[in-house]
Amino acid sequence: MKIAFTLLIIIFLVFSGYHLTFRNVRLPFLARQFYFTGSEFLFLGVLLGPQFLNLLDRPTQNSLAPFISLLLGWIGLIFGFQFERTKIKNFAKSSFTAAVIEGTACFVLVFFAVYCIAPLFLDIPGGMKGDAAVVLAATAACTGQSGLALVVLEYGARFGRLSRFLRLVSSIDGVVPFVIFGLFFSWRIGGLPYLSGLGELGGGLIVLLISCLGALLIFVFFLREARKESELILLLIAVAILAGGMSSTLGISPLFLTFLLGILLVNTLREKERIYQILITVEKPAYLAILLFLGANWRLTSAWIVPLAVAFCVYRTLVKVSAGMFVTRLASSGEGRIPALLGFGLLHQGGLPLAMLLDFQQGFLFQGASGIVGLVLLGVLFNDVVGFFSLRRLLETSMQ
Amino acid sequence: MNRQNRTEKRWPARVMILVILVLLAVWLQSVHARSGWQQAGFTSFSLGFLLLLAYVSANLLNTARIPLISGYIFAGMVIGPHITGLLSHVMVTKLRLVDDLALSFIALTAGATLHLKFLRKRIVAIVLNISLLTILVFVLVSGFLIVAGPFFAFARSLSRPQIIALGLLIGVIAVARSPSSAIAIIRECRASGIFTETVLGVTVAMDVLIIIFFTVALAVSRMITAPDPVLNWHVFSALLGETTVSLMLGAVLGKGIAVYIRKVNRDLPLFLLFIAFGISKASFWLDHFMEAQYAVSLHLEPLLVCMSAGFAVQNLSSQGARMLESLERISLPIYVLFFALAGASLDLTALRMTWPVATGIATARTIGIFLATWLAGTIQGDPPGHNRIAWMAYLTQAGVAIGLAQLAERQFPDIGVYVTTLVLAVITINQVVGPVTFKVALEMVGEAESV
Repeated sequence: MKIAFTLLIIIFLVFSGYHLTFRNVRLPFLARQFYFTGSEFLFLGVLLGPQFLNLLDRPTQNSLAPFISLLLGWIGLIFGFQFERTKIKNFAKSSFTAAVIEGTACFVLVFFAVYCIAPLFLDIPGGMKGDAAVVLAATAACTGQSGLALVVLEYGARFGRLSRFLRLVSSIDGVVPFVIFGLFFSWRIGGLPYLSGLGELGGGLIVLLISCLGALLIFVFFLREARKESELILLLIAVAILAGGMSSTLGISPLFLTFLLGILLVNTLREKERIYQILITVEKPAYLAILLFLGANWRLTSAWIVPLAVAFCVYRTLVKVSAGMFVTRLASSGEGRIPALLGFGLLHQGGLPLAMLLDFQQGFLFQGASGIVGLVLLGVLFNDVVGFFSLRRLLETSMQ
Repeated sequence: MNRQNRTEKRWPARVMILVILVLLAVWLQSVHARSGWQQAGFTSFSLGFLLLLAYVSANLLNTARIPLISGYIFAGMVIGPHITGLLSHVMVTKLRLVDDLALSFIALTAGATLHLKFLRKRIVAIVLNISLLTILVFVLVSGFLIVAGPFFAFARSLSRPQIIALGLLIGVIAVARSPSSAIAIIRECRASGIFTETVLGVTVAMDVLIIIFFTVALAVSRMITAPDPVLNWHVFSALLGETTVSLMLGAVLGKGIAVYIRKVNRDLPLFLLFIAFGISKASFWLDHFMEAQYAVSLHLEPLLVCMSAGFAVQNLSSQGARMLESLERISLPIYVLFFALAGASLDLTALRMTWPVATGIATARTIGIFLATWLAGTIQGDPPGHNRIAWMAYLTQAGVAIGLAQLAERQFPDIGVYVTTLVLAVITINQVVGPVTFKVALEMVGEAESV
């Protein structure tokens, strides 16, 4: 009864909430910012979690595993579907390279800083320093598009060229860090005893490839016939749950597996547009549900978390600005003149880091993991506010 | 390209999907799960696996004219704990969370397929068929179980009152039919005409009435099996009250759904999903709450509420078609899962023990249906050709009957397992035979456009 009731509450909150959220309603700035990005769902999650109502406790979350698999699988597919070869080819090569370099540089710089400093303040066992550093660096490197959307809503679409470039960077810069995160996940958690000869990473990769191939072939054979929309919905739900569950069992990242599957599907299937239309119908509700689950497990485990989160965000800002400065030189040839302080427009983190965080939370159950989740969540909230101001300033400056 | 060619082209792809799924399942079963997360992952995998396998294999069987629903049940049986064991008992239990939702969904759809205008037109034929079908099928099936039941092995551990209760419950459930199967076959054959419309009207209306009959049967069975059997007339007035409240609540809810469609008209499939899920859970919650807090038994019947809501949207507003279309968009995964899980939870060991009884019940039911439809047709003055074959249209049985059996299992733990097993066994027979005979009947009366 509790599981059903909790699921009912989640469905209600998510579907009633998403029509009200993501809108530019007339509210005081901070409240609007909070509301627009759906951050209130993090706090609703805290309310549902063990600290208050105890509806979304650990056993209930375990029972809702298929639902979590569906969420991660769905988001992974959507992310993968953005990498259609023909669309990517439309971008200037230099801009694409710049976006990739920016993301990778951020990942590397945050990784080393976190690896050296975070264990001093958070209760992270020695062997898990790398795990913490990878997830923090990967989530920090991603840039979301919600900040840009909010500024455009606020001021109208006046910043054509620069906002186009920012949109490109924010959709591409998370790729390399995300791939590193996915491979790291497979290396740390995955691998099967009979593949030990290939090494932990090799074994994880083989498992990943076989799983991905299996799911892809199901799609390919299923779509050999003309299918109705209801059949495509069935296929997507079933494959998202199947792939999510399969990857959990095999110890690989559900999000990463479905991301790879999404890339393969969008570049091989004729039905890709119909599938994508179904996928994006529930993108926002899926994202809000992820926030609820993250909120339910949010703990401020140490007094250091808040100052550490502020320091982390300041450092991330510095890294983004430095990386931005570096890549503007590369991109300026393809996109015209790009402002050197581009990095100030890349502070919003968006939904992908949250999905990665939920993925991490499910797979990495070590002491101190909840501290890392808390740190990232605080960082996301902080960046949502700061990111808006800095992006607006950047765009206004570029207009002058 | 003709049907045979199309079928020949499709089956290799379908077989390939099944092969891939089975290989993945075998591979995953060999993995030793080290954490709770990995174990939970296997449950998720099983759910996705079940959905795909049931759907694809049902489509494959459909090429041999076996109806899809029978295919889902059959696929569930094969991968369930008793045959291949790919799905364990624990997993099936975990996944059965979807049952109440699916039943509410089926009820909502059934209500929405009832058109008042049509019901008025064929009211005499429908009432006559319903009355005779209810009386004759109930009398023959329950009579068979009460008289012949003690001679079967499974009933040796049951007392006489328990056998009578079992007879009453299964007798009532035997009256139920399957609107979803009937609608599916009518659509498949693109059938239309008086015969088709009468069958549809009887089938859907019966699904409303069956809940009332079943509640009466539950009350009588409770009285019979109680240590101090007293006929409590209060039960019937309470039933009348509960039924009225359920119908009224459904009508109000239906108006609410219509207003939502007219004014909001967004995310309708998900809204209906939430409504169906909400009704089933809220009814159980209210039942427990009233019992625990005020010692008042107020059992709102979720199926009746949903059916009434669907009926209200279809007949008291202009939003019926829109609602049916939305229900259809998301009903497929729910139906596949529901029927496949129903198949997976079939207790085949018990079925092996009870197959003679199941065959007996199915035969008694068929005789009852034949007598009822023949009599109704003769009284109405329908063509003799129609009267002789009308029974073939009423054999299908599915969703609501399974739901009622499960309700009986909850209310009577001692005999409930027999009710569920026998009902599922009879349904399995009827779901394999029924859709095929219905299709044949539509062809014979000349109302099927394509075969």
